[in-house]
Amino acid sequence: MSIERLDPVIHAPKRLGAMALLAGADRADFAFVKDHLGVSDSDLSKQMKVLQEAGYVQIRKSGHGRSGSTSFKMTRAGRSAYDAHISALRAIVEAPASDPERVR
Amino acid sequence: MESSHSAHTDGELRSGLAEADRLSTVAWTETVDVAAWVYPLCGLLFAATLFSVRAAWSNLWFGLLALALIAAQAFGIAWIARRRRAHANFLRMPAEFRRPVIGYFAGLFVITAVATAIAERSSELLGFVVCAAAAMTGMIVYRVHLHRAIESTRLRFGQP
Repeated sequence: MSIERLDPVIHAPKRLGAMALLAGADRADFAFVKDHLGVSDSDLSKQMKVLQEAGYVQIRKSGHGRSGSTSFKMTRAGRSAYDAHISALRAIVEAPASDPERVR
Repeated sequence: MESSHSAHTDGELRSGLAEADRLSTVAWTETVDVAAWVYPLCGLLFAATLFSVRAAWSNLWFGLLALALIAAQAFGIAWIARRRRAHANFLRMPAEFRRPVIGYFAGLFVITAVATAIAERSSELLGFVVCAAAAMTGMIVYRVHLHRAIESTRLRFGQP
């Protein structure tokens, strides 16, 4: 199992963190994801937009103005991609050190 | 050069995986405080709903009462859910939570069966009281085990 098997969209640390948070949840608020990743509003919006454009996350906005809220939900494609990415990651870190695939 | 690159990459991959594993449990370990008065209220509502459904077979008004109680509880659950910033996915439950959650549903079943048996063999009032008390106690026991599961999960990832 080599590094090329990792999903480039999910592999970025902040996006991997966001996907991991959503993996354990049906839906999560903007504030929940932001607080646990320790990122700014604009940074989180940017990262989630990338995941949305990849078809991995649905973004729902409700209300207007200051009372509005944003929440995220992983799509079915997102769950498949995340599970595959985690499996690939686990296979890489658990591979024997002598495995030639590991250094690619 | 190649081996040091692979070692650095391995370290990053390993810590990324560990962090992903930890973050995937956070929806379960983030708690919402529950006021003490909620437990007896839950007990009463559960008993009232069960016994309204029982009485609905012979009296339509109890059927309407049962529907109103179910609607009130659904509203309460939705209100609590809105206070939570994330809704935990039951299919992605950390292992530590399986026993409390299974115990919760098993407890509901047992309380229903015992309360119904008491109502049938003794009196509806006694069945109602036993049901309300048992449901309240069951909720408290569930919350204790839930908090233990939260602590165990956090400890697994070296968190306080």
